[in-house]
Amino acid sequence: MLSTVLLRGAARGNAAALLKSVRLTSLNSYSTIVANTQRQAVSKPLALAKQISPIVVRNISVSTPRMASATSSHTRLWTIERIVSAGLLAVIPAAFIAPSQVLDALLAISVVIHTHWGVEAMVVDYMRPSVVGNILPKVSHIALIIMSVATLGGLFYYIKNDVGLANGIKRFWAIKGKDSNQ
Amino acid sequence: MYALSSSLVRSPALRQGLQKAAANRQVSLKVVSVGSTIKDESFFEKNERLGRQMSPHLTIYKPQLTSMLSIMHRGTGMAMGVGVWSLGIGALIASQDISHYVTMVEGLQLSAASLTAIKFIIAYPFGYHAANGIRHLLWDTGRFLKIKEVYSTGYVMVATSVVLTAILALL
Repeated sequence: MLSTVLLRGAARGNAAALLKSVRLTSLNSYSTIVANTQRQAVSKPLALAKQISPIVVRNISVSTPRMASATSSHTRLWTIERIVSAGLLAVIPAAFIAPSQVLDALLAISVVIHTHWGVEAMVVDYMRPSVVGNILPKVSHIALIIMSVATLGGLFYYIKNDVGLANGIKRFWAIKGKDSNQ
Repeated sequence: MYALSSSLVRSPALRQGLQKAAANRQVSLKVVSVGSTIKDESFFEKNERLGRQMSPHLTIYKPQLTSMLSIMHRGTGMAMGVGVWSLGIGALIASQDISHYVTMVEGLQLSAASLTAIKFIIAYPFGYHAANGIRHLLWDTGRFLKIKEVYSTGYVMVATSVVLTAILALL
């Protein structure tokens, strides 16, 4: 019973659609439309193409805009950064194994410049003008330079006027617990 | 609309028309000067003007060993940087010399175990950054760049960092 009701409904739907299509385009006009389209497809393909898919226009610039520095390449600085990083692997143990003012100074310079380059990378990555505006990146850069200069100055002062960098850290490290004999 | 599959079209006339159109579709490449492609407003300015929100980005990314180790490298570097700055600027502004501060810490009367634990915590950023630094330098020579190698060196590096820190803490 239910199936016949559904089928009747479906048939009614189809019949209505057919009637609608018949009302819009009689069989005569349908064949004309087909013939016209076929004729158009052969004789005026461009016009038909424009109707179906308009011409796509993309503006492509064949020369890249100059975003980076036009004068210098970054590779030399990059290489020096890697050399300093590798150098630290040698300087740090050396400064602690055989403490001296020269090695302390070398340690201070290497650590400060390595820190400077690392924090500079962070400033460049996170202080983006599109996010924080135009002033903050410049201010951060200048603040970083001031910090690095001040730190290096302080460390040099300390190396000259106190026990030295490596020795000072060793002293802190040598602090013994209260339940030891010392 | 443009990607309409002409093979699915039932009307033969329309199908033929579409196929002809596809065959004759023109895409014109117009060579223009660089200046004309540079816009007045940046990408961010334009989207701000249109009142658009930013799509989810950082928070929807699954944490992976690669990204986590990388940000740890940056984090440990920053932490040690703050330490170095404190040491340098502290040396400039401190009124006493180093023995005074050593005596101050000795006065805290911490147990040997606590001291070793504190030394481990202080030394770990150094151990991690040094071990991962070696991994970075190896990458800079072009080695271990395949994803499997990135993961295996990553695990080796974390183990090395713990061992190195333990050695330093026990010195």
